[in-house]
Amino acid sequence: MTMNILDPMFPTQANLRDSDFLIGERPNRMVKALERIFDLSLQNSLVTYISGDVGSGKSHVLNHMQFLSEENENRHVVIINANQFDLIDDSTILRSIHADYRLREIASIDGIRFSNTSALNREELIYEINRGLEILDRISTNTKGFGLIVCIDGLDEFVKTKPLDTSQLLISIRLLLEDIHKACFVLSLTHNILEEAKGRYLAEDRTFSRRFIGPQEYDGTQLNFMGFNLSETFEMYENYRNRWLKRRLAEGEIDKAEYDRFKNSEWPISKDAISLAWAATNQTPWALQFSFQNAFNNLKTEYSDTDWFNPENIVNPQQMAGVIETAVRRAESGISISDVAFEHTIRILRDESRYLRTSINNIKSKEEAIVLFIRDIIDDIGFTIEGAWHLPYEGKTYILKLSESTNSNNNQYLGFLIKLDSPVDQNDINFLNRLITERKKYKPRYVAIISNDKNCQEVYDGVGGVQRVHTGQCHLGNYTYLIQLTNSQIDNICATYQQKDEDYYKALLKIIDKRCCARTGLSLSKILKAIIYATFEQ
Amino acid sequence: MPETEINWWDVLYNDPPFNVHTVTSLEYASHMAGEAAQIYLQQFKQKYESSLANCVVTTVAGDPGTGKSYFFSHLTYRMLINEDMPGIPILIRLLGKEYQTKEIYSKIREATAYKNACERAGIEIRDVPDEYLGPAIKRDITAIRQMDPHTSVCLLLDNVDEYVRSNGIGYVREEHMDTEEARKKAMLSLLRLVNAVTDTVGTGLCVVLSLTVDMVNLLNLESFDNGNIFTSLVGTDASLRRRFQPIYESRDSDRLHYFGSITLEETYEMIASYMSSFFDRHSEIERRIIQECIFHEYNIYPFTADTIKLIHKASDYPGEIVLGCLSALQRFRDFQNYIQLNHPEYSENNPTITHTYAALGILQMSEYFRNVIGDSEFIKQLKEIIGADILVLYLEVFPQLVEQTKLADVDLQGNFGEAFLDFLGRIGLGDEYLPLQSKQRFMSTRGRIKFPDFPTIDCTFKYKDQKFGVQFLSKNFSGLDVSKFKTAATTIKAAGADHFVEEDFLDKVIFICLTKDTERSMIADRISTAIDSRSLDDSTLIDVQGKDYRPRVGVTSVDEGTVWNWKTLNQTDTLTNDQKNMIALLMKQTEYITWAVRGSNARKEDKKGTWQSLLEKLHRGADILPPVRPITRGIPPDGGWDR
Repeated sequence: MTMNILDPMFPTQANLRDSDFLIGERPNRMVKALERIFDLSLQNSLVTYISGDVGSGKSHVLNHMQFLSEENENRHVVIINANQFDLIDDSTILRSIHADYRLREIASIDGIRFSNTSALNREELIYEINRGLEILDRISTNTKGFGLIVCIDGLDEFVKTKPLDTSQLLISIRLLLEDIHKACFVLSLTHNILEEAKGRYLAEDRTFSRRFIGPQEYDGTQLNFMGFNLSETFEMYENYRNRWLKRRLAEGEIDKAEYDRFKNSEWPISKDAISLAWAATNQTPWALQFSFQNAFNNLKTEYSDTDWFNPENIVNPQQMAGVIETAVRRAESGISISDVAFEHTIRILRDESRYLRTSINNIKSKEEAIVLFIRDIIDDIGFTIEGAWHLPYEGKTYILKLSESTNSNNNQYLGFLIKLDSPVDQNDINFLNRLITERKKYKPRYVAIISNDKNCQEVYDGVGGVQRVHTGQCHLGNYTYLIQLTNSQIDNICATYQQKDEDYYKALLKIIDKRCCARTGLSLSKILKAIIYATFEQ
Repeated sequence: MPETEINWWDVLYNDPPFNVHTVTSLEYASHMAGEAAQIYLQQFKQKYESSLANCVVTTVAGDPGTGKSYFFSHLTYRMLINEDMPGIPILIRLLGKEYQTKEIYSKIREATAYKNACERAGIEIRDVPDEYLGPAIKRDITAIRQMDPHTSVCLLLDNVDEYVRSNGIGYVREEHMDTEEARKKAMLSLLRLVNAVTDTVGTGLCVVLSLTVDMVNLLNLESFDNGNIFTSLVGTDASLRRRFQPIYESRDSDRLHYFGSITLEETYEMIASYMSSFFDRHSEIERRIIQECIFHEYNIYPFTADTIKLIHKASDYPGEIVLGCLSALQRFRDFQNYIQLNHPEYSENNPTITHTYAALGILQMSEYFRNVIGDSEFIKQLKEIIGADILVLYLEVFPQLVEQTKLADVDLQGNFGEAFLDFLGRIGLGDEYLPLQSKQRFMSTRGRIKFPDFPTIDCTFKYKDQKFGVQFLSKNFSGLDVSKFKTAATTIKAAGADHFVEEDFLDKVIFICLTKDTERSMIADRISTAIDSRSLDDSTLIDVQGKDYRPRVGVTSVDEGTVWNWKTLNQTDTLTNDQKNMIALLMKQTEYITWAVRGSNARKEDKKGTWQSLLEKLHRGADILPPVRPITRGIPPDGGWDR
C-alpha cells in the first residue's frame, strides 16, 4: 500500500478544500446573522465583522461564505488576506477587489472586461469595479440586485509583524462605503482589535458606527466565536477524518471496503483521547486540530511502514496526554493544563508505571481494596453511602446502604459478591438467593458479582433457564450482574487504593474507573450508576 | 390580497419603499416628514432664492440618521421629478482627500442634471482647460438663467464630517497637529474650496453643506463672535460673510436648525406616505384597511400602529425608524416563509407586521437605535414582547438557549431520559402519562445479556397503564447500542408472563435513533430490519417466547438538534412553564416505523405523525401468537414462556 502521508488529516489552517462545510451551532448562527446584514447592504454599503480568538475559525467562516456565494449568482465574496500586504488601506483593498479573478470571471461571462489592475489609479479602479457591479446588478435575478462582499482576513497575523493603524483601516473602509455600491465589508478581527476600533474610533463617529453593524444575538448581545462543545468536537474530528479517508479512496490508495471499515471505527484517535484533548484546549478549532494532527503524526511514527493504517492501532489517552504535555511545554496557543486535577490526570497518563506501582504487601485484602474503590466511585457519582456491612460469608460479601444525595431519606441496599481466584459456585448462588429472598434487614435488590474468573459468565448457563422452584425464590440472572475484571485491573485498583496523595488518588480513581469495564463500552461508575438507579426505582 | 401565489411580504421585502442611509430611488424621497423639516424647507427656499443674486453657502445640520442625506434626495426629487422647485441639483459625496476646484467644476459639468439644463438652454458643453472650468460654468449658468431666471445650481455637499475626519487624520500624521486643530484645518480647506468656487461663479450657485452636530460644535458654527471658523476664514470681508447663510431654528433664532426627532404622529404620516408609494407601484397587492394598522387618517398597513410606536420609542430619528421598519420586515418575512414551509397549520390568512418583529429587529440591532442602548427597562420590555409570541420565541430565542445548554451540558446523551420524559409531559398526553425512571437503569435479563454487554434501558414511562421503555441509539451504533437493542428485545414482556419483578419488564419499546439528516433512514432501517429478523447478526438472535412482538415496538429517527431542544426545554430557567409547553407542542411531530398486524403477519409501516399517535399505536399493539407452540425446555413456572 502506498499512502499519501503528507496530506494532513486535520489541517490547522483554513483552506478552500474544506470550505464546503461549517460545523458548530454558533458559526452557523453567525452566518445567518451576517446574511441579514448582507441583505441590508444591498440598499446601502455597510461594514460588519466577525470576531474571536486566534484559531477560533474566523477564516473558515469567510471561506465558507465564499463557497456559498459560488452557488449564488447574485453575490460574490472577495477575501483579502491582509497579511500579504505591507499596508492595508483603501488602495490595497480596491486593487484586491479589482484583481479578484473570480469577480473578473463572473464579470467576463457578461462581457465586462476589467483592465490591468496595476495600470489604474484609484478613480479608475472605482469606476471599473462599479461599472462591473452595475451591470451584474442589472442582470441580477434577485430583485434587490447583485451584492459584493469584501472580507478582510488575516488582520491578527498582520499585526504580529506590521503596525496596524486601526483608525486608518476604518477610514479606508469608510471611504470605500461611499465608493463601492451595494457592498458589504466584513472585517475578521480579534477581540483586541475590535475593542480598539469600537473604543477609539467608532465611539466618536456615530455616522460611521451606524454603518458598522456586528452580528448580534436576538437580545443584542454580540455573536462571537467560542470554543466547540464536545459533540461538535467529535463531529469535527469525524468530518475531517472521513474527508481524509475519502481522498485516499479517490486516490485509489484504499478500496471501498477499507474505507467503510475505517469510517466505522474510532481510528485514528480514540474517543477518550479526543475528550482529553478537548479538556486540555480552549476548544478552538485550531487547538483541537493541532492536537489531533500531532497525535496522528505520532501514531504514524510509532508504527513501522503502514501498520499505523490499522483500525486497531489508535491513539489512546496516554498518547494524547503526551501530545498535550509537549504542546504545553512549547507554550502552543490554546493548550493548557493549568487545572490541578487535570494536570494530575495528564501526569498519570504520561507515567503510569510510577503511579500504579502495586505493593500487595500493604493491602489487607484485595476484596477490601475493591470495595473501598467502589465506595469512592459511588460517592463521586452523586450517591451517599450511609453504611457498609461486611457479611460473614467467606469474607467476600458486602452490603452498602445508599441514599440519593438529594434525598437522604430514600435508602436502598446494594450487594457485592467479590469472588477472586475461584469461580462462582453453587454455594455462592445459594447464599445470594437467601440474601435477597429472606426477610433480612439488609436485603439488597441487586447484587454485583465481581470476578476475575475468565469463564465467570458461565454461571448463568449453569443455573439453567429457570431456577424458581417456589415463591420467593429468584433466578440468579434477575438480581445479579457479573462484572469481570482482569488481574491487572484489580492490581490497578489496589494501587489506586494505596495512593496517599488525595489529588492523585482522585485522578487515578477516574482513570481506573474508565478502564475497569472498557469492554462494555462503559466505565465501572456508569454500570454501578445504572444498577443503583434500578435499585431506587423499586 | 387578490388570488395570487405571490406573498406580499416577499414583494415588500424585495422592493421596500424606505431606504437606509442613502436613497436608492428618488421616488422614495417625495415626502419630508416632520414639522421641523417643513420649517427648514421654508427657510431653505429663501436662501436658495437669494442665491439667484449672489452665491450662497448654507447648511443642513443634524445627528446621523436625522435625514440630512434624505433632504438632499428630497430636493433633487422636487427639482427633477416633481419640478415644483426650480434648480439644478448636483450631489457630491465627499471623499477623504484634498480636493481642487477643478474637480468640483468637473463634477458639476459631468452631472446629468447640469448637462440636461445646458441642453435645454442650447449650450454645448465643451472641453476647456482647467483654468477655464469655473468661468465656463459661470457662462453656462448665465445662459440657463436667461431661459429660466429662477434657476440656480444647487451644489449639495454630503459627507462633510467624513471628509473632515479623514483629512484631519492625515494632518495629524503629517503635521503632528492635535486632532481638533487638524480637523479645523481640514474644514478650512473645504471652505476655501467652496469660497473659491462661489467667488468664480458669482451668482446662481447655492452650496449646501451637510454637517453633523459634533462637527458644528467642533467648528463653533453657532457663535459668530467667538472663533467661528467662517469668521476666521473670511475675516472682515462683509461680502464673504454675507455669503455664508446658515439656517436657524426660526427666523429670529440664533441657534442653528438641526434635523432631529420626529413625533410619533409624524412617524405614522411618514410610514403611511412610504406605504402609499409602495402600493402605487404594486397594484397587484391590496392595501388592506385594518383597524390595528390605522392611526388617525394614516393607513400604515401592513405595519400595525403598535409596531411603529415601538420603533419610534427605540429611536425618533427618521433614518433609524426606517431601519426599524426594514429589520422588522426582514424578520417578519423570514418567519412567514418558515411557517409556510414547516408549519403551514400556523399560517395566518392575513398577517400583519406586529410589534414582535419590531422588537426582534430592534434588539438584534440594538447598537443602532439611540434610545435602546443602556435602557434596561426598555430592553426588558422588548424581550417580554418577543416572549409572548411563541413562534418567534421558538425560532429566534430558543436556538440561543439551546446553545447555552450545549455549552453547559457537553454530552448529548447524558440525561437524555430526563429530557425526553419531560418533553412527553409537555405535549398534552394528559393524566394517563406517568414518567417512571428518567435515568438509564440496569435491567435484569436472567443472565441473557452478560458482560461485556450491559443491559440497560434509557428511560421508562407509563401510558394508559402500559409500561414503555425507550432506548436511545447513537448515530454510530456502537457496541453499547447493540446491548441496548438486545436488552429491549429481551425485556419486552411476553403476554401471559407474570413475573414478580415487574420493574424489569416492558410492555412496549421505542427505539429513538439519533441521526444526521443523511443517515436518517439508514440507522432506523438497520434497527427495523434487525427487529424483523429478530437479530442484528448471528450472535444477537432474540426470541421472545416464539411470539412475534413487533406490533409492540416503534422506531423513530431524531436528529441531534431535536435532542438538544428537549434538553434545553428540560434545563432552561429562561422560559416559563407555559412557554416550554407551547414550544414542545411545536415539536410534537415525528417520523416513525411501526408494525401493523395483517392476519398472522406484521407489516412494517413508515409514518409521519405526532408522538401521541405513536404511543396510541403501540398501546394497541399486541403480540402475534405463533401458529404452533414452540418447542421449549419446559413450561416456565412463572406463567410465561422462557425469556
